Amino acid sequence: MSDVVESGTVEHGAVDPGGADVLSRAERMTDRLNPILLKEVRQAMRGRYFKISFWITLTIATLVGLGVLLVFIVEGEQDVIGQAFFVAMFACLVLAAQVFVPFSSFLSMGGEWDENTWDLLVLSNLRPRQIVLGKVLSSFVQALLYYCTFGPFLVFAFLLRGIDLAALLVALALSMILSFLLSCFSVAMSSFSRGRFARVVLMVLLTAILVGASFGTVGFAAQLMFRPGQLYDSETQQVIAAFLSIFTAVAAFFFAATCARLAHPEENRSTGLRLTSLAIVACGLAWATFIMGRRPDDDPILILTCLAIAFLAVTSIFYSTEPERLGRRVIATLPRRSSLAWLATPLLPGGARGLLFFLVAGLLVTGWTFIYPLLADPSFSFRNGQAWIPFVLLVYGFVYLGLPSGIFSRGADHMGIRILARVSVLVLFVATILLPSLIGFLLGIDSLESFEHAGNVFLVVDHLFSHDLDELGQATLVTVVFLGVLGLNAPRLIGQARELQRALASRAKGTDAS
Amino acid sequence: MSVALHVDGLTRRFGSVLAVDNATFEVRRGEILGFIGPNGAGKTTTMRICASLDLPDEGDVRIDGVSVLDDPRAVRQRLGFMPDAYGAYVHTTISEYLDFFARAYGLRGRNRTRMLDYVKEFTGLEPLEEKLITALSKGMKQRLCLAKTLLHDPAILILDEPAAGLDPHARVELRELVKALAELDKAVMISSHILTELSQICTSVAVIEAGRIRASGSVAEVLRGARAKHSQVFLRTLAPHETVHKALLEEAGVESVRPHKGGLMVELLGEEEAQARLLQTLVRRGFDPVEFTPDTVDLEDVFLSLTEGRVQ
Repeated sequence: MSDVVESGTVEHGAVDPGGADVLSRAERMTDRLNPILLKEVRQAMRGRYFKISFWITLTIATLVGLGVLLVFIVEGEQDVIGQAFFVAMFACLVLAAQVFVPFSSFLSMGGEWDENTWDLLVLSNLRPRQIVLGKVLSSFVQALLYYCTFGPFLVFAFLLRGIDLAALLVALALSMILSFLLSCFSVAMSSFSRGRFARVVLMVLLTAILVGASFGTVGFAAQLMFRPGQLYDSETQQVIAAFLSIFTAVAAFFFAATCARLAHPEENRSTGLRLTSLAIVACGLAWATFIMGRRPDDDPILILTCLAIAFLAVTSIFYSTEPERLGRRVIATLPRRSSLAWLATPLLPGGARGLLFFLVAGLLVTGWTFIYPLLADPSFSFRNGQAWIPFVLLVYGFVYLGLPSGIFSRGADHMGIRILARVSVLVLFVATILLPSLIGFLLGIDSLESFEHAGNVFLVVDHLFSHDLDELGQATLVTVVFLGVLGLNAPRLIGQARELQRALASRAKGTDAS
Repeated sequence: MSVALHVDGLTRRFGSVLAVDNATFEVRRGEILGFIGPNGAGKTTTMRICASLDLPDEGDVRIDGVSVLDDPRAVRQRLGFMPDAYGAYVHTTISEYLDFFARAYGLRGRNRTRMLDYVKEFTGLEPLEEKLITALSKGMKQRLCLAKTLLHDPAILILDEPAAGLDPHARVELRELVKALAELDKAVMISSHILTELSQICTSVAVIEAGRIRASGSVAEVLRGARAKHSQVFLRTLAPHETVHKALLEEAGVESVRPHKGGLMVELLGEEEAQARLLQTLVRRGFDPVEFTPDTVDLEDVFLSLTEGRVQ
């Protein structure tokens, strides 16, 4: 049989004349396409879901379109008939592209487990990212079919008068991008659980999100149609850019999270996610640097710093609660040079290394907070205690993450304990704000009762924005708690450093032996 | 014959359940290993670990010398796994299904076309290639799954219960396909409950129960090992059977005696020497034996003698 195949190589034989050659060339072109994309599109076109949703959308669009035309003609409001018709058609299109299509991605991913085909995919050469990308691209192809189908309706709306072409194109482009991002999100949601009950809950949640996003898109498109001048307002442009950036970041993170979830438990499921988190933060900071240019402003810089550290803290909830040990497959992929392996420590899987990731990434953000304004404008300086904000946030984040993950680190191999640790981070965050206030209420201490205590991170940051550090008070308490949490996690951090040292040593021994 | 699959001290726990306990065996190229054991013995877990779909808590599996732990992707290139739960896509024809997996295995251009033609011909699916998978019989679906497993020309095949639910005709066809694969110098590991099927195609066996390998080696070795421990003899005598029954139970090396088809079935500890001693006893004590037939041991007897039907 080996004679029959030379795996993975492309053979280009003699050129056949005529149509056979064209077919052969077309066939060869499809070699470059993602196999999942081909399969999914083929299945979708034959499936009942696409056919039914397609005809439902078209029927609704036709009825709604006729209704709008009749109402506006009868009412005599022919000035805005073009805009009204467009919004009606656009709503139908969005229903298909932002609800039906992403939902089909959710069903398609779930189908791999229901139909027992997941193991077969895993055994092939396809990597999780190819599988996820194939599913998302196939949804995009289905969405494009809807856009093509609605083309005549939209052209008709444009010909009815009163439509700004730029607004129309922006609305269409936005909904296309959103359809793609929502498909990413749907595939991610589907990968969160294989249990039927959990999937039903996720389905309901996803439907609510998709419908909500669709309402938002239609509302925004309506605004653009009826007030097209807004599009040329720089504030609107910034809102669109910010909105798209946040959506893209969320979709990219969910894409990476899905790939990680679909990978084998012993594979490195963490480094990709950690790098994605870093990339998202870096893109955000680069974007802000580009917007502000040589005129740095302290408030936007600090707000962005707070958001970046908050984002890192939220994602680090997962990293800091991972099982502690490096798997054999991870050890096999460590950088060859020891110095690089040590440098990459915060990016390697493991709970304590997750904590380290938060600190290192947070310090990088802090570095930007101070270095960028100085480079842009050497005379720049922060007011009063503002310069402490990134450090204070890092300390709070470390405590929120380090306390539960340190306590539950011994059981982190079990999924249940990991979930408990993750929930505990959120509970701790809320408890540090609410509990002192509750105690203040019970004991009649006014300052505590009104949330003015060191446990309320929002108040602390607010103080730092406008006051000196001296006015914060309770700084000693925060420092003691931080040192306590550091002490709790010290054995984990040392243990993981030793594990890496052992892994590098044993690999070096293996290389020498071979 | 070189070792294609080497299972070394494999252990897998699911909570407090020890699914596989220090399993060790190997399969050589051109060999068909029958992996037999009662339900819940740990067969599928072992096979999934061999296929790199699950991970052992201890031990390792080497496929052509490559560890499933260290380099699962390289292992998957060398290995074809046919799971017991058959996976099929709806709204897909045989041709499309195989084409998809050929692409997923990285086959390009004419290589893909040639390989697709080959596996369809090998498994006899050519005339049905435009049929929807959902319209296929169980036997044809098993063929399709085997065809998919062969697409990347793996050197080692792991087939988990491939004959389950097949009619006798389809079983014979599957048996012939498996034999043909072994003739192509592939190592085949096959699990089944239908021991008569396995006994006709296997060159070696591994018997697993409660996660432990009870015996492994070539069929001849395992049968010899089983015979060395136990054997059965059917006998008829002119003396009354009740008298013979009582007398034999007092003899050393006789494990049990029971009436059987107008005679007695005697179970002995040991094989030919024990049988010779029994015959001498019968003659010496004047029981006048008229029939003395040692019972042949087959794979089913081996299985029953080595296992007690325990699950973890």
